[in-house]
Amino acid sequence: MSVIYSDAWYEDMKQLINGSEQLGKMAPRTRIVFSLEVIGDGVSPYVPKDGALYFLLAIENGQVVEFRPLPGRHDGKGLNFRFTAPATVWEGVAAGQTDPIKSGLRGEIKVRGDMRFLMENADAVKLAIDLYGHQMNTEWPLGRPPYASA
Amino acid sequence: MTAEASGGAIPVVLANGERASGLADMLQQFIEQTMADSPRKARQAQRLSGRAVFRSAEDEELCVRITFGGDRIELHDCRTPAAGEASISGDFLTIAHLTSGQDNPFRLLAQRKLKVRFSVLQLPFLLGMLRFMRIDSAARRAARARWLWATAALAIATSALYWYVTATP
Repeated sequence: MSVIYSDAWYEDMKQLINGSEQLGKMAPRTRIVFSLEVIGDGVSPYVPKDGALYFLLAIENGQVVEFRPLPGRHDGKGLNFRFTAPATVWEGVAAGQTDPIKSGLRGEIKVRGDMRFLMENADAVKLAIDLYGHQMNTEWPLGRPPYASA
Repeated sequence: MTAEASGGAIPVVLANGERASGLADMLQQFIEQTMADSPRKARQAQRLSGRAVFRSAEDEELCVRITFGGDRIELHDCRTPAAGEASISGDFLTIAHLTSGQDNPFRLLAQRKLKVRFSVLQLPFLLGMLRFMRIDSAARRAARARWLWATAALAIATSALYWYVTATP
C-alpha cells in the first residue's frame, strides 16, 4: 500500500505496469511519452483548488522507463499524449470507481495526441487502464473517493 | 502534438467548441490528423457528402453527428440519432479495431459488436466514410504499393506480349 501521489506510489505504478507480461507483449516497441495533468477542483483533498499536479510517463519496449512528477505543465516538446482531468476524476479511476473510457468519451478526461496511434494500440491502452483501476493498492489518508462534496 | 493541417485538408469544425464531448473531440483530432498525413485521404473526404451518427456503446446518451459537406466536416454532439439517419454504434475497442483494420467490419457485425443502421440510399456514403476513416498503416501502404507495382508489371508484360504477337509477321 502506498499513499496516493507519493514517491512510493509512482514506484508501485511503475512496477504494476512492468509486471504485466500481457501488456509487455501488447504495447508498441517505440518510445511513447505521456503527460498526465491532475487539476485541482476544490473537491479532492489531495490537490489544492486552483492547483494542479503534473506527471511524466515514458514507456519504451512495453516497459515504463520513467514515471515521475513534473514541476509544472509540460511544454509539449517530445510529448505524444496529454491527458487532462479534474483530480476527482483521476482519483475515482485510481479507486476503481470511475470508468476511464466513459470519462474520456464524455470529455471529463481530455485527450490530446495522435488518435490513430491510440486506435492502433487500443488493446494495450485498455489493459493499462484496467490494471491501474482494478489492481492498484492506493492508500487514501485524507479520505477515499467518492468524496462527500462531489 | 496534434498534426497540422496540410494542403488539401478541409476544416473540421467542432460545433460545441470547448463544451464538446470527448468522443467529438477525439473524432475531430482523428479526422484532422488523417487528412494532414495523407493527401489521398483528404481528397476522399472532399468527395464525401452526407451525414451519419457515431454512438458509443459505453454511454447510450452520447452520440456525435458527423456531416461531410465537401468543403468542410462538422461534428455535433447529440442525444439520439434522428429518424432515418444512418448510425454506427460500438464500444471503444470495436471502433478502434474497425478503424485500425485489426478486425473485419462484417465479422464485427455478425458478432453484434458493431451495430449499423442505414437505408440503401445511404450505403455508398457510409462505405465511403468507413473507407476514409480506416487508418492507412505502413503495412497497408506497403501492400498497396506492392499491388500497384504488380499491376503495372502485368500491364507492361501484357503490352509487350501483344506487341510481339501482332508485330511478328
